[in-house]
Amino acid sequence: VPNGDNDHEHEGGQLGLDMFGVFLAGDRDTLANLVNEHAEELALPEALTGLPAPLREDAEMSGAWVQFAVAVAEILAERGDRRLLDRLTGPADNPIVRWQNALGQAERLRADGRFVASDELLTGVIAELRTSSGTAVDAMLGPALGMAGANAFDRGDMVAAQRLTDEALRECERTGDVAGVAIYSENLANLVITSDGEGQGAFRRRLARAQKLHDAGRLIEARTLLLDVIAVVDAAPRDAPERGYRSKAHGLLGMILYRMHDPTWAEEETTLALEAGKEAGDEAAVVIYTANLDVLRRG
Amino acid sequence: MRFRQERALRVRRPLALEAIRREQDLLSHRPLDLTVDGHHSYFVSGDEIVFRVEGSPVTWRFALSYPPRLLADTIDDDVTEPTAWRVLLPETGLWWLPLDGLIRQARLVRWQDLGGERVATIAQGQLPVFISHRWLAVDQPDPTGRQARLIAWHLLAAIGEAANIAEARGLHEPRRRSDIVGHRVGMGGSELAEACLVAVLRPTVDDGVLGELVAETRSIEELVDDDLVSFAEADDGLAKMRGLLERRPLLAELTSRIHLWIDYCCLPQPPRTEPEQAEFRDGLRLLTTAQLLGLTVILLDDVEDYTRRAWCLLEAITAYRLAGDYDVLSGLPENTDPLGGPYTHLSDLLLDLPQLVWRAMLDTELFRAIDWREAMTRLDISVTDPDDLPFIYDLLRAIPAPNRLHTLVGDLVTGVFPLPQTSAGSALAPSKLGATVAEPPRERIVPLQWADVLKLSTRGAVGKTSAAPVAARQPFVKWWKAARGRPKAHVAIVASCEGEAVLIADWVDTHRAELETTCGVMVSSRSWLADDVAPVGTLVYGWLARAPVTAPNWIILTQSVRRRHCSVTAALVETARNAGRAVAWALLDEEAAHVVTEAGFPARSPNPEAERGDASQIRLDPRDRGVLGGVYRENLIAFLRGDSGA
Repeated sequence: VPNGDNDHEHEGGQLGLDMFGVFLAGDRDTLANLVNEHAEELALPEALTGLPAPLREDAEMSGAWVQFAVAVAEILAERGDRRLLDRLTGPADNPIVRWQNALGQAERLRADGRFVASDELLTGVIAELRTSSGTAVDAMLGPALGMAGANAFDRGDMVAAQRLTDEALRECERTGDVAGVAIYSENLANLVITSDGEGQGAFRRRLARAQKLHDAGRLIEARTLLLDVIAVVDAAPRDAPERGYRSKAHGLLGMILYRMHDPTWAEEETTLALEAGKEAGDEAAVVIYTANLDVLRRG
Repeated sequence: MRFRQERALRVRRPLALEAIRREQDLLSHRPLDLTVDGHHSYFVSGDEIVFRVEGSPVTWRFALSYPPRLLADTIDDDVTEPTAWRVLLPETGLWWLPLDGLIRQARLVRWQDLGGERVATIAQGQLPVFISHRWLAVDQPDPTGRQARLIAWHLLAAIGEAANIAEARGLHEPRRRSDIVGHRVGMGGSELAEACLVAVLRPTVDDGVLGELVAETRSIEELVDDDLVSFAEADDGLAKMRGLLERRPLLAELTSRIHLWIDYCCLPQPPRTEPEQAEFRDGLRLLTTAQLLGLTVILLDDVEDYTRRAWCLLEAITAYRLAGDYDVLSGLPENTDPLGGPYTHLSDLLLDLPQLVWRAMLDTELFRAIDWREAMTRLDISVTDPDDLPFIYDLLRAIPAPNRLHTLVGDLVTGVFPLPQTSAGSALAPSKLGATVAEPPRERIVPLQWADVLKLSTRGAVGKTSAAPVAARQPFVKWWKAARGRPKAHVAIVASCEGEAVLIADWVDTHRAELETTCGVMVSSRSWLADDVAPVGTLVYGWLARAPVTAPNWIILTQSVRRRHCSVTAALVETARNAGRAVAWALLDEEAAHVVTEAGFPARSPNPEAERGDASQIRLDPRDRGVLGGVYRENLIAFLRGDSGA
């Protein structure tokens, strides 16, 4: 029972409990409406940051309350008010605390099935972690990549799932994270099995072979193989796993054509690679193919 | 070593998983050039070079065959033509089995049963290949014929790889190397394939038939489908290979030009007649010669067992130290990946094992701390016939000091670190441990007749070598009655262990006049320093101390690899330069030892206008004895600047 001695707390507490009920019912639209309606009250310093007394003895409810508070804070943040989110996720000027909180939040979002929102958080954290160093970074980057890989898997993006899980594994190997190595090795193995089941494994091998042929200077063979691969990629439905390799396939063809002294076609293919990279949200593809276009245009 | 093998096995993942990880690299986005600004770091992984740029999450991965423009400056780095072409081969004791003979036999055949298959000559256009492998039974190295199948298929694949390289790079275009990263760049392949290109293809194939050869090769490549080991294992009696070669005349002809040295086929096997015994003795004497005449390849199946066998260890170290290189043939499907565990494990062992063997030899021959039998026991190596051990020991001790560097932050540094004295009681000390020594332009290079300085076998017969004298064990010596009239010089020795340092110091102490004449100086002092990655064996000093040096010239005596890649040597030399000392290098391990002098050497007095750079003034207490037990390399700078560093 909320403490009746303090009207403000009572009101605020009751509002929170009411909204919590809506959250538990999974009614996100109503929750968003309520947050918009009570945005000012929710932005007050004491709002939602304390665990209501009725929930304190119940570990499961306590955990759900934290997820609920973060969900409300995110809705507020989307409206442009980050005060509650900052209070919940710690001071923004301490990057380690901020990263930890963001990873925790991404985990909660993931547990809640909100993979895209979780990914959005992770993308920023991973980018910052990759350009930082230290033991805290070493401890966080592998799990962050692993979580992003798991999100990609659950979103059905097998290509990104394999890439990110592999990166997580390499990061854990680099830092000597034995548990991480075991987890991501197993995850990667499962991904391989799953991919092969969908025929994607053979497709990957053909694309990888095209890269090997290129690296060996066997450009005509590489181009022939790649044109077949691209025909499959471009004809695949938008949600087919092969589409995830579209950027790579066109980028590699652009590179081969550049080496075969066909700059016009090379530029066309590299432009396609860049567009596919942007569409997939693949940061590395955007950076690399933008740079390749510069090289091609400079001649 | 066993622990490392177990670890290698433990961390090995399923083949499918390893394959997917290699694919992941191949599927990464590839740049045409490194166009991003910022501080770059890089590493080489197999046939790729990967750059990272500070502040950027993106990695820039290039095939070494198409490197970024910043690696455009390259030098020729072709595999040399076989030594066998340039020397007169011995008339007895050295036999070779042409590859086409092995393919016909489809198994390893006893020397006595080979008859006309073996040959005694290596002509132009023929490549001698020394096969180092484990015997799988006491009296028969390859009871099932599996090794024969693997050797034949690997060599045929190497010819094919050579043809592909020739087509992509040009038949007569040399392999190129970037001095910046120290790796091959541009089109290239394995050492074996490059050797086939130089020794077999170039002399016998012209551009007109190269296309046909490539076509023959690729028609086989399609059948093998990236799994050579499994394909070879399944080719019972090599029937499939013979069938394929019947319809591929160019490849078939080239197989006759690769001549193999395989112990079972090229040395008379027991029981031997009297003439066979004589032939056998001649052959054993020529074992090292056989390796030096061509390329050694190791059939890699069980790394740990391979390196614990005395003959195999001897062959591997000989290839590594004397022949300059080796290649590896995969003996198991999981060993196929050059980036995989067993390959890395063998490479690591080949960095460490020569060091351990060298220390055992120093303990035996220089310090006489143990006898040769105990040395072999301590090395934990086995041999089927114990009577072979003295012979193997003698060959091992004839191998000079290892000349490749394996350093860790945990290297133990002992001896005396010389510091240039700036005034009474003061000296200059380094402020950081740089990675490499900056190389100013060379002034002149002078030969030095010191070819034997790093050899133990020249000190006498086994058990009768001259022990290290007391003076050489002193890590710092001053000579007051040095040759007069010339500028003074300090000799600073940097070695891989105290034993090696003492060995060099003994040579310097007894051959000082030659160095003085060559360099035009009078040597007034000598120090030695050991930077030891594996501090086992005898420690004659066991301290690390600092000593002020007044001489205006410093001669650094070390192996050439330390000149470029040793941070301890770098700190020593940079500090001398910063204090205005003129520097010369006496490099002891290259084909002919020589002295390289830098600008201003020899100087009459220190250059007062030298820039201090990364060095600072310190006070030296004459009562300071240093640190017992030495200092780990990561603590060296702190120690030199006055902290204990222990």
